[in-house]
Amino acid sequence: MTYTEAELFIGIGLIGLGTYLIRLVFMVFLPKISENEYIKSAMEAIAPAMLIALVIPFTIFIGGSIDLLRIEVLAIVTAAIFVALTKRPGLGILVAMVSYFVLDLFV
Amino acid sequence: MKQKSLWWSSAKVSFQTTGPLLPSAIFFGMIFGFTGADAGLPLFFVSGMSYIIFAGSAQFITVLLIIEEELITAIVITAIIVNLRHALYSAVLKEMFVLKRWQKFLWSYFIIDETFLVTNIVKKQQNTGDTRLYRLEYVFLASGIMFWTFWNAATIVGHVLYTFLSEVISFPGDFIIAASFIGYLVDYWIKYSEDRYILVSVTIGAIGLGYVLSSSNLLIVLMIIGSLTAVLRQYTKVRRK
Repeated sequence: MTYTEAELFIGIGLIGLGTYLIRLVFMVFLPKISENEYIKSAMEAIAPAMLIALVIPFTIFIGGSIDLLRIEVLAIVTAAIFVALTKRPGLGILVAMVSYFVLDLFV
Repeated sequence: MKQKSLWWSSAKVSFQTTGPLLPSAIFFGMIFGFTGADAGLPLFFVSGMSYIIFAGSAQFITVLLIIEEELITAIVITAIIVNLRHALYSAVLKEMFVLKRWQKFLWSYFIIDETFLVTNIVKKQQNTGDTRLYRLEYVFLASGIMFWTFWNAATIVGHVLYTFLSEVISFPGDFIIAASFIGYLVDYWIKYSEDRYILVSVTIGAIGLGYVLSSSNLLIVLMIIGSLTAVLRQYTKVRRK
């Protein structure tokens, strides 16, 4: 599928508006939600769920099937071990990318 | 103390906490610009995303789904859902800040993971006898301005660098997304052991549903699985009491 520039800009505009309203809605319009434990726990779960959703499928799936014997998987595992040992999450992306390039040279 | 000097002392406090996080934002912003260029998107469009959306994960997922040629509606919905956590940040920050109505509209724009984190760190320091003079509202705003500036500049630099480095560097967009978040995933697993049940349930869902769902649908479904798991656990806790 190809997009026209107009479609892309409308899409970006809508995302910008939507993400801004999400940030704005509780700050300006709605009462405190932290008193409702169910809503609070559901919203708090979004961040960890998102982390898994952005790492696991994009690492192990290729074209709808699992492929564990790839450079990408090895690089992600290397980065995970590094972060677990050093407790420096900000360096995860750097280690993953360096691992990827190094493995790409030799594998 | 005058408002102006209070602003500057707050900005200084903000910088002390924001500074160590800026390299990550710069690097991440450059990767975003690079990825956007790799997807064939023009500079004005990629840069526009950085100041219109100003949310790293939503921007990345947008570019990724554009690469995968998903429907525009699916891209918009996914990007907004990815950012739903900001609503929670908004609710929490509302309780910390004393702001005029117009200020709330401005402050809200700067709600991102990093500024939320910085504000909470400074707030915790405040609770443990920090004697520095500052206003938490200004600390947050200064942090937001710093992240916004570096994020936007880094996006442009990343896009421009693609012109020179695209022949040397190339790697799949999917991998960049996974690489960007692996550190925070591992960190989350270590720090928040009480939330591991969410990570496990979503992982099982990801492996099970990855065969049948496209990436955008999978993201939405996995976040719903995570939320439902948390609500179920909350319900079980309440029942036990």
